Amino acid sequence: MRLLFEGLKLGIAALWAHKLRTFLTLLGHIMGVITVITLVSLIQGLNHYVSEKILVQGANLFYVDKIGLAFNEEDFLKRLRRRNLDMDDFDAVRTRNETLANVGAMVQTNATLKYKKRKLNQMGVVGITADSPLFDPYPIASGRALRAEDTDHRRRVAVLGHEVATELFPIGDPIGEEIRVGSRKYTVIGVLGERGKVLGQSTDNFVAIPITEMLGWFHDLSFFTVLAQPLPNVSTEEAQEEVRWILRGSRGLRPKDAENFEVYSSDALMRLYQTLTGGIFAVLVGVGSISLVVGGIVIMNIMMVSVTERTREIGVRKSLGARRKDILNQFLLESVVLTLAGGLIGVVFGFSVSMLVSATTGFPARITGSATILGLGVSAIVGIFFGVYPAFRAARLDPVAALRYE
Amino acid sequence: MLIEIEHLTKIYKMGAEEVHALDGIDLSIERGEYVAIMGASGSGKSTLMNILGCLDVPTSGTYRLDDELVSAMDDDRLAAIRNRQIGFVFQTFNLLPRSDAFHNVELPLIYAGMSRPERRQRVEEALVAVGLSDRTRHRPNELSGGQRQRVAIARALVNAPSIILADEPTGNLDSRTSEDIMAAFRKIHDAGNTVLLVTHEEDIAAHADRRVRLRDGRIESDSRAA
Repeated sequence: MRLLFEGLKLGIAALWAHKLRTFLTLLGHIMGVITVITLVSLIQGLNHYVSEKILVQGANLFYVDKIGLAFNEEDFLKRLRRRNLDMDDFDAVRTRNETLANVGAMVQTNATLKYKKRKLNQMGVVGITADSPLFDPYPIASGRALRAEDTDHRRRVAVLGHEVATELFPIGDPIGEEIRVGSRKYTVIGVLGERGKVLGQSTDNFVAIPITEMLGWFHDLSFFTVLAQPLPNVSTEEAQEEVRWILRGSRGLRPKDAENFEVYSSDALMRLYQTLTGGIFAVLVGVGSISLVVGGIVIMNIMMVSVTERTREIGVRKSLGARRKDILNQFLLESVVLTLAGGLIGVVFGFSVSMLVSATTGFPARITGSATILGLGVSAIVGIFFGVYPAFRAARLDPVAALRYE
Repeated sequence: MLIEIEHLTKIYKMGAEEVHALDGIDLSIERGEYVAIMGASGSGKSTLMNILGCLDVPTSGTYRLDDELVSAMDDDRLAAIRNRQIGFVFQTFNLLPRSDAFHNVELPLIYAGMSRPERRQRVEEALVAVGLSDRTRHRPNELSGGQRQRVAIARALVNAPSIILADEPTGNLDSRTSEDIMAAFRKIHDAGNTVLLVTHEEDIAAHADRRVRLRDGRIESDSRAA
């Protein structure tokens, strides 16, 4: 330990004695670390952002509809021909389940919204049941949420998304005002809190109305979706299994029939994202790492030069009692100190670059402790890996020959 | 007996030819002796010094240092012997150029694994002993040749070794400084240390109490001063 500390001091001193050479030697390594750190912080930023936005609805929420996650057009078109889900399916799940805390149903379309002379084209219209779990991430900002009596009596009432509210009502309180959805009039009863953008798409540009009222004039049930949230002590898998059985019954499927509906969760969406992007990210970081190897070779080269230059010093140290291990450690520490110094600079600049990218392009970068540890850890490994051969050469020098070296 | 050498040979292979650098040496040196090892270049005195200093091992024969059979040791044990038993003084001083006098003298103690406060005390004592207590923070290039050699002597002494092994210690110094350095060795010897002086200069060798002359890898003469 004592020797290690002395070695560290020696290593720093030796590098400090050749400041410019040290820096130039390190440039490649620094670039490599910058590349890797930048990539990792951008990737981590994206992952974090996506998971935060996807999972915001509660990780255990799951969905049932006839399309599900279709990954190609063929699947999509095939599933589109399935029998629609409808309110009967929703009622079956709602009344028969024993594992769910909350069940909702939802249909969506687009329509033009109007308030007096203000007009918003192509806004989302969501027909929904009262107390739907979908609205968990949207706290009510003012007014009230949809209630059972609204759906029971097919009331023409609307809850506005934040963006819709601010665009239609730049001044004044929207509660109690009458707006038009398409040609129909609705009374505004509440405004939702702001949730912001997901991958550049606003999540606040819709209006929610009672699903029962909407089904009175909207008849395309292709995307009719049942939302379900398991009881706290029930696993998502268990609840999904129960919902499957209920729907098989309500849709008259025999045991050997394939299911004509899809059950999926936001977890599954997240997993899908990860499988789609994981490979790409690994390749990106791998390509970035090539520059680390190049930087490492430069470091090995300069360490070889350093060993040759200091042959006589090695001989002197050996004559004073340095063992092979001492010399090995000395040079190994020197190259690790070298790469760690480069790693530190690289991490700092890497974070700066990713912040810059983030600030100029809006790409969500994220600075994490794990990226810092990765940068420094990889640097230490590069230092050891590319330093071990020169250090081994130094340790093996014959003291007589080394002392005679000019 | 501090040093006991029997039938020592060292053979170098130069291509197909074998060079007998040492060709059967028998030599005993007692603790506290002051011995000059002399000979022209090529006589084998450097080879003998390397073996005595545990920097090299003989081809055959035995070398006992303080009752330890050094000739059969591996690299790391030799390093430990060099650290504890041998204090080298070289013709070219061989100080680390970027380290100050203090750190140069401290080096053997670091390799011995000694604690910092103990090292500090020992280094300061050694530098006082060679009259350089006011130069501890000077680097070699800020010191005169004589001062450098005295730093090297302090470094050789700092671990209290069994042997001070000086290889042409005055070879790079003018005659007045040489006399100073030789006086320093005399003082070291008088303090009870064993000093081995390797030289080809008669007047330097004259400082020693015993002179061993080598020629063609054998001992030609072994004489004591009257």
